[in-house]
Amino acid sequence: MKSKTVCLAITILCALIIIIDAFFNISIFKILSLMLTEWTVVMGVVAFAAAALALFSLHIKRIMFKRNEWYLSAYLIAIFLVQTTLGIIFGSNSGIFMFAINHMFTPLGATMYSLLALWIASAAYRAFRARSLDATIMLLTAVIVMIGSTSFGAAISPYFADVSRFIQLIPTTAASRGIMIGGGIGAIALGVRILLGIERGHTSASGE
Amino acid sequence: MKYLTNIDRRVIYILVIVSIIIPLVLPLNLPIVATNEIVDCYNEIEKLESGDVVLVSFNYSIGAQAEISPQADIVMQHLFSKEGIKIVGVALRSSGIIMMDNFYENKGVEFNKEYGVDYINLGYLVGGETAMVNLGKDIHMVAPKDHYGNLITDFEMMKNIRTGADLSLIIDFNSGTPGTPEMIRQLVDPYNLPYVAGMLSVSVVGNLPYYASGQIDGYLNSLVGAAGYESLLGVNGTASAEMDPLSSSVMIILFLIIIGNITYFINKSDKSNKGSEYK
Repeated sequence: MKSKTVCLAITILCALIIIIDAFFNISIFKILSLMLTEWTVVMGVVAFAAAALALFSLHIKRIMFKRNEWYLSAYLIAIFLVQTTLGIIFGSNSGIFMFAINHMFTPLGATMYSLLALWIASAAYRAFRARSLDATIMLLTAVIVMIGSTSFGAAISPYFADVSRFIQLIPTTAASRGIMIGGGIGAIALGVRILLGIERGHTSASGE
Repeated sequence: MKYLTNIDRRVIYILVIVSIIIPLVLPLNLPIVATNEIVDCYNEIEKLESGDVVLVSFNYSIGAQAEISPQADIVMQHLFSKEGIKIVGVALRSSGIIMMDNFYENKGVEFNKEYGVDYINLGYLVGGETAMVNLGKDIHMVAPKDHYGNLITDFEMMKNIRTGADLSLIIDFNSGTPGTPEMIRQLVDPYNLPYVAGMLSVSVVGNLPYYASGQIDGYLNSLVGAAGYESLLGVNGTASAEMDPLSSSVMIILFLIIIGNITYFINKSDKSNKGSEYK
């Protein structure tokens, strides 16, 4: 039996167990479903570890071959090794491990996210132009919603919040709902394809 | 006019930074309004009774803490101020555990609550949506020990909290995946639980259908939601203080958009006039 066939058989079997457990109350399927979800968690953790090793390998090669800005890869490897060692020796709850998280990673992450405010301001100034009817409608809607969601809107008129809420709850929700339903139907179609063995991307690397 | 058509981005950055700094130094004290979804969120927590079990899930990243930590702070303050509520804390994202520690330790001390009796921290549950599935089926299986390594069976409050059916409310602070859709799929709908969510402003649009359909009973939209919640509790907290800079920076961006459009139309009419001259 080819390995691809075995992979497909395992996929279909696991998917059927989960689906049957979702729709029927059969104790054996409950036990099997619980077991499968536990295995999923274990596989997720292993995948995480594999990703870390792949990252490690990529940056080691960059250092070895002195690629462009290789010193940044050296910095990453150093931090990676130090934090991993500290976490293994002292535990991930220890003060020494959390020092880098609280005093380096957290401020840096917050800073990167905060820079978005400046980039969005610049992008909005350049991109939000009423070049066509559609663009004008989008611009006016954005202006109303933006004013309505700030304290200035409340200071100017209480109706700003009401109009902003109407725009969000009626036309925006309708559009989001349509996209969500489309996405849901696509997910069902993909699930059926995987169940029937038509979708085989997960069973082998490309070219096989 | 030519300059206004193409303002240097550094000038824009300076304008935005100044618009944030000035209200921090000289507060504008603009009014803060609690909109319907904030009031709904407040009411869901207000109507909790002694003995009710609340699952509080911290699923947001470090970058999102500027928007969501104020929400978590005020909601946890409200939750901890209620008598007899059992609070079960989980993190379904690795960064969530960093936020959780601060809130649980500080609020527990502030409101004189006892760990293991009034609240418990189950720590980070690996698996995302899969962890949610298992959480609903058997909490003791998915989290046999709490965040500090103690067996949860040693705690009296956890003896009767075993599955999703034992919960009274889910409060979820998220900034992506796992987030609101996953929580609704795996816990809210299967166990028919009330659910309130604190989320980023960019996530609100995608989750509005859930609010419209009643699957989300209330939500907090970024800093605005947190400030509105603080106004309901009569607290002048971080979010209220940050609303003025937020509002002024939004107005600066709107001003720049208006300037850009005015110059665009002026340039457009200039070009069409010049074009007609050559005909």
